[in-house]
Amino acid sequence: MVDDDFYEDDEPIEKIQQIRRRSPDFVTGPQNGRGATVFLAPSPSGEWVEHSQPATWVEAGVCR
Amino acid sequence: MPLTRPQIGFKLILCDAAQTDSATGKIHMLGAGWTITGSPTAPHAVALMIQVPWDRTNQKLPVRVELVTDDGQPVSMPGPTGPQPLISQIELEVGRPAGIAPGSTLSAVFAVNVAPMSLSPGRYEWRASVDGHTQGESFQVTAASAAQL
Repeated sequence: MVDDDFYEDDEPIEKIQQIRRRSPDFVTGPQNGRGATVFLAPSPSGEWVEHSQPATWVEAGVCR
Repeated sequence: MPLTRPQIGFKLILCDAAQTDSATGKIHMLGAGWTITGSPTAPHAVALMIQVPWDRTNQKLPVRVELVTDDGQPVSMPGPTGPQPLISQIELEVGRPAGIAPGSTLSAVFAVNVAPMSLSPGRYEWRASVDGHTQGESFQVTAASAAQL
C-alpha cells in the first residue's frame, strides 16, 4: 500500500484529482478485436462458405 | 424530453471491397456507395459499422448479414447439396478499453466480401440484423454484365 493512494476529506481537490487521473500501472485485456472480415465465396465443391482469405475471382467487373 | 436508453445503431454500405482493422475499429472501403451492377455481379463487399452502447458491452450480440430479394425472400445459390441461402453471421462482443469514459458508445466493424454471383435482373437487398435490429441496403441488377456497366 502506498500512502499516496489515500487522502483525507479536507485535502485540496487538485490533489485528489491528481491521484485519480494518474496513468494505470498496467493495462489488461486484448488490444485488438474490434473488427472482423470474411470472404463469402464458393468452395471447390460449389458450396458457398466463409473464407478467412480472399479467393481468386475471375470475371471481375464493376459495380456502379 | 424523457431520457431514452441508448440503442444499438449500425450503418450498412455497399462497396467494391472492404477490410476491417481490428486494432483501431476502422473499416477501409474501396468503391463505396454503388447501387447498380450487372450479372454475374462484380466482386463486392458489405461494410457494417456498429455502435454499441456502454450497457451492451461485454455481451454477446448476434450479427447476421444476408441477401434477399425485393420481396424479402432469401436468395439461394446452387450448392452441391441443394440451394443454400447467402448468409454470413458472427457473434460480436465489444469490450471496454482502458481509459474510456463510462457511458461511452463503442464501435465495431464487420466486412463481408462476396464473390461474383449470377443473379436474375431485379432489385435485391443486403440485409443486416444486429441483436434483432434490422436494416438493409438495396441494389439493382441489370441484364448487362458487370464489366459493361
